[in-house]
Amino acid sequence: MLQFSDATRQQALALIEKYPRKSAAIIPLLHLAQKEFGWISEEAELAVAQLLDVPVVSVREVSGFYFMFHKHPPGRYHLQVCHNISCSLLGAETILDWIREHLGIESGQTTPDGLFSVERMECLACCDRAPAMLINDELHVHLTRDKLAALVEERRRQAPPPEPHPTDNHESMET
Amino acid sequence: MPELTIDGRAVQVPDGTNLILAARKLGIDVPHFCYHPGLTVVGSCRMCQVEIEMGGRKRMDLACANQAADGMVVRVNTPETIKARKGVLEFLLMNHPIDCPVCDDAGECKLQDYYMVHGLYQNRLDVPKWHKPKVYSVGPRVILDAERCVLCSRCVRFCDEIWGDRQLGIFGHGSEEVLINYPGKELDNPYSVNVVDLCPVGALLEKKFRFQRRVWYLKSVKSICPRCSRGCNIYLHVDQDHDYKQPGKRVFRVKPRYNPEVNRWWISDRGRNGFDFIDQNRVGVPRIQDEEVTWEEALGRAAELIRAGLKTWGPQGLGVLVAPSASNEDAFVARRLLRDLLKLEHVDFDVPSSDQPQADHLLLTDDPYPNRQGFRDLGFGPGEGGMRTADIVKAAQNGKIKGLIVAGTDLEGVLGDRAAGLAEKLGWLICVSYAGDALWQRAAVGLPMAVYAERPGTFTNFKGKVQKFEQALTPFGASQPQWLIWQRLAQKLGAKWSYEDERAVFKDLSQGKPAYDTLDWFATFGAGPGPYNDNWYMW
Repeated sequence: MLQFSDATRQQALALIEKYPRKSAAIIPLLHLAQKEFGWISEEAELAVAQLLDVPVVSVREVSGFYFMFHKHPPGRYHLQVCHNISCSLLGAETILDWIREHLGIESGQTTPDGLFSVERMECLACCDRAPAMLINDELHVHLTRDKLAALVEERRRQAPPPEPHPTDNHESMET
Repeated sequence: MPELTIDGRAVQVPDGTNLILAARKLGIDVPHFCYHPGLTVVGSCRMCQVEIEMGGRKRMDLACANQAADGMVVRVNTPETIKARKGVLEFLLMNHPIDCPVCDDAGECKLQDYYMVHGLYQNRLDVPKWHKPKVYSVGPRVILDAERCVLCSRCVRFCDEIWGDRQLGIFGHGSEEVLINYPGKELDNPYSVNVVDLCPVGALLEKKFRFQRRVWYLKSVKSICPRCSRGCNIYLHVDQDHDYKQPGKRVFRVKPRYNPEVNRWWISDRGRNGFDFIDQNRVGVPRIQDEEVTWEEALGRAAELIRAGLKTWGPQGLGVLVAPSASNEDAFVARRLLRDLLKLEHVDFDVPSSDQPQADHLLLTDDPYPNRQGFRDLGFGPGEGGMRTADIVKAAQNGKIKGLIVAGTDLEGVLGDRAAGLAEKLGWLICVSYAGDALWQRAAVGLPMAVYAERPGTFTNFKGKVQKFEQALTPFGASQPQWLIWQRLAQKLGAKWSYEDERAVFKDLSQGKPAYDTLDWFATFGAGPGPYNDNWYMW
């Protein structure tokens, strides 16, 4: 059974206090869970459901709706490529193609070295600077294939020596 | 009581009535998927859009989520609303497999019906459809085809609001959104098949009914569920005319019938799965020992045995057990014969059952029989010094009771192997039965009985409500209604009375009894006048 750390637990309880109904705190608690566990596993959903006293089904309905909650352990650098209208018109698919060609991964997948993962993202509210993507929490806009290549190369250089992939913490992970 | 105008006609409805129900009062059907009168309003399907004019301003809005107000003008069918609904349907059908020819729900599918009215008849998409789980078991009694689902969430709300456990959810996002059970959880509550009635399309289907009959071959008959003492109002769906598959199977499924005083819109899975006895292991020819005989011969023999038994053993040597699965009419005529005419003492109806329901907060009671209260109300039971069931069985086992008459009892289920032994210890056993069980095999006289669905009658539920069921089927073989068997036996034993039919019996038994006054034999009673049609498909 997955447990929140004491510190996170305290944070969660404080968050719950802010809402008139406990179930309203599902999204903030899922953010906490993702920060703590790296992704939203079934066990993480259960931990959130127990803290909120709601059926685990309700937590899954929320976590499954939002792409910002990872259903698989993400890579060290999680590329979230917007594919909504403005971004698609301005080349989001070519960005995703580049990732497929050069990193060998599709949306929802992680590179074998655990460095990169990619997700088709819903609108990032940057239509004016499309195409846009997030690398972890950083926003990158006006993307081109060259710009993306440079960003990826830079991340590869920055990457610290390999450390255990977050998948190793979870038995239920596929490789 | 606000008064409003819907499609040019004025109507007055109670405060708080939504526009779907207000329109229904005028016989106008507002298309809808997600709205159901027994569940909370979510307004998620957008199918019930109507034009609402109020205080000089016109808008398109949902009929389910808007309440009738004084002076409101509502237009259900205008070029704009029809266009809006067409748009909704186009989205719903985008990824729908359109496999009506192999779908069990064809013929009672709202998507199909509305498409016939609003259809675009031309697919504007050239991208492949999304695929989702098909032939997926969400629970022991329900199967899911997620591609047919319109995500109305009726089933989700049923589990949440009516049963009280979230066993289903709608997961994912956009076109990938899918209705399914949470991993490791099953849709296994004792009312799970109600989601099949609620499903407006063919996404959730009853496993037991799957590929059994096209729905348009089914005849729908008003009936009462005999599986516990609640007396839920049901429709029996029967087909006696298409024998191409499973010959001999006549009852195909049970559907709920709305009754606000008894079961509202729901019935239990126990009730839905409880009709096998109507078509299985039936007996249709009277018997003397192992020999098949005519009714005259069998009844003559039974009367002989009873007369001789009374002479040699006296009333104390005879016992009678009648299961309260029999109707009030049966109980009344049985009482006239057994207690009033023959003056038997050891007469009881409190027989046990091997098929005990588990009571819960919704509908099920812990009484397996539908008419125990009716037997009580009609004074059926032991005379002064008469024994109750357990003692009668004991007395039969140790030879104190020599002649035993049983009707519709499940002694084999309760006593197991001892049931056969019981018959051997008796002087004679007269068995009135619909099933060829161990007692029937060993009876001196076997009188085949029609089941409740094969004749009309009334049950009294545990709260004392008297409810009528209609005849759905012709009696199996030469079997006859229980009351008629008692009556013919009574005539052989010297009774002067006779009834023409069930209605005549009911008229006699209800005389001067206020509990029965509310019931009019000829009325199609049940829900009574109200905003909800009693047909499950119309909700």
